[in-house]
Amino acid sequence: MKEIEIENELRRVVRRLFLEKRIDIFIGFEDSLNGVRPCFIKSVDEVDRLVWNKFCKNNLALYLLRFDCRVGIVAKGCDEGAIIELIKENQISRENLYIIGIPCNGIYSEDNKIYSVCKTCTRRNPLIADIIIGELVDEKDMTFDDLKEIEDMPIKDRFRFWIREFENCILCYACRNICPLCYCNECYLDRRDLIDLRERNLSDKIFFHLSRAIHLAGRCIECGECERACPMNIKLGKLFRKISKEVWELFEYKPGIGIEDKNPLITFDPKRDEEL
Amino acid sequence: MERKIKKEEIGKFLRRLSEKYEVIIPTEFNDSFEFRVINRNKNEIADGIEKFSNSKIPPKKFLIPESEIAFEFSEIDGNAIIKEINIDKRERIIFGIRPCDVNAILLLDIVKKEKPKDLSYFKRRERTLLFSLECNTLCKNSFCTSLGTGPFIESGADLRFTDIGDYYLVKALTDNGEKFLNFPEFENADKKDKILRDKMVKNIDTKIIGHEEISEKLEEIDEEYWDSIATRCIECYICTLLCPTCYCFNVFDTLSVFGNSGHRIIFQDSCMSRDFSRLAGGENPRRERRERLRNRIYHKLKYFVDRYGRLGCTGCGRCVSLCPVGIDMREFIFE
Repeated sequence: MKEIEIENELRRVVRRLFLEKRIDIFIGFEDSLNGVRPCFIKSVDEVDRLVWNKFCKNNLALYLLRFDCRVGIVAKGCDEGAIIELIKENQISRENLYIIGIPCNGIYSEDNKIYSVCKTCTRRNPLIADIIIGELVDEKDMTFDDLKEIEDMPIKDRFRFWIREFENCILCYACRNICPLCYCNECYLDRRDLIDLRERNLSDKIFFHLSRAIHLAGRCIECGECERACPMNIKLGKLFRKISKEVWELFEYKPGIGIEDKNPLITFDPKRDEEL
Repeated sequence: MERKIKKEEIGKFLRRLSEKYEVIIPTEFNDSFEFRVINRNKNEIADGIEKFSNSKIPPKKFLIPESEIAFEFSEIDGNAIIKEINIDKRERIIFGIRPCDVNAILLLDIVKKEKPKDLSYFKRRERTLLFSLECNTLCKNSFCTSLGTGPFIESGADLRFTDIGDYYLVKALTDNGEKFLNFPEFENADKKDKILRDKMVKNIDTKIIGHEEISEKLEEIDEEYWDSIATRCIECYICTLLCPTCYCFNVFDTLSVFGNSGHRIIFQDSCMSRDFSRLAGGENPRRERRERLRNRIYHKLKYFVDRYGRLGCTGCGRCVSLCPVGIDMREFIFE
């Protein structure tokens, strides 16, 4: 199916959902002066605003927590992964959700380059969608080869590499705020009585990123939103993939796949964890 | 006075300047450009400047650092001792600053001059010279042509550079700028060169919208529209931290572990933060995301006009290009 056919089919399905009164709001993408952006469709008359193409970069699962009604959503593999994690963590309920899954061959930036996290994505096809539009695509084998370049650096260079990356950080909090899994109402990074980042020096910036990385271990679904949102092009995708690699090697666990899967970092299995 | 300089000579000119001044130029960095202090040991100075459109971090960072120590304090034998922090006295030149950012600094001047005058800002500002580089092409997402803040400039900078092919046409806009035109790298400009610039100016469509008109239209926006935009907003600080005219700050003290010394820090704050308008006791007049977003837009397009008679936005387009969820300043101005 071509992109335009998928788009037409998407509009048709959403129109039906509204007419059958199965959803109150639909989260999708619309066109704007500056490319594709998320939009919220409230009635059947607005459905024609919906678009679908390879530039639909945002992870829409982020917005699910903002609605307390029956929501429809269009989901790529990574969006669906985030939805699964949110369901597992009791943040949203599956019953109130209608998922339109679209198999994904990677998302492209405005200058037509594929995003780096998409190159290593192993979660291209919908798994829990109510309806799938478009043909399923081939999944790639899991690989962490893209990390080799950084991993192979001598420790001093690697340290310098990350310091240089974090030096550019302006602490705009976009990476935290756009992350669909950073949903805490009160984030410890905002709690000045616990950690005060207002001085904005290098150690604050390093602390910010490394502690976020630890908090997302075993939860990050590698959608790459943090890296895309970052105005300073910090290689956050590589940082979070490294965390995912560690989790995979220790537990053979990948988040965002099975709704019944248990996150190994919040469960204790005496047999498995003895050697740890 | 108008003169011109060969493009190949720019590096030499800047190196000569850097003997006496701290020279800041756009430097290629991570697929884009950032303003950085010249590294005199490097051979290629200002190479690739032809590709420069604008930096992500506005040059205001040299006047308003992301955080700075205001003073140090300590207590010795019951007496409070305050030690001021000296700001480097060396004069600075920002070369390549775009007209929109020059206009932004002029706005900051107005705001910072209000009582109480921001002394540390003016200590930096007074020793900063602006060598503006006019734009031959418009940046993506910029709308300076509608606000009258670019792509050309007639006043505000000290020197004005215009790309006219093999040369930059250079005009001094202040007395301070005038003296640099005697540098040996410059040649006399003739009529032909001026015509080249005039042609460029004519070719770019400028249609300035009155700021009264913009701020009046803003009031017509209904609640529902604000709601729909606020639902999309992720309340990060990109639009405020990278805005060339945003100047909000906050102040806090840090104490040493012994509690008898410390320093006071001024840091750039963002009105998109939940804590920004929170009062002692926990009350918050702008509790909702919608209210904070509206405040940001109103501040730029209305409060500035009411108070200073000009817009608080220079149309550089940074907030538009860098917003991860496509919130677009142009919609508030044009629609």
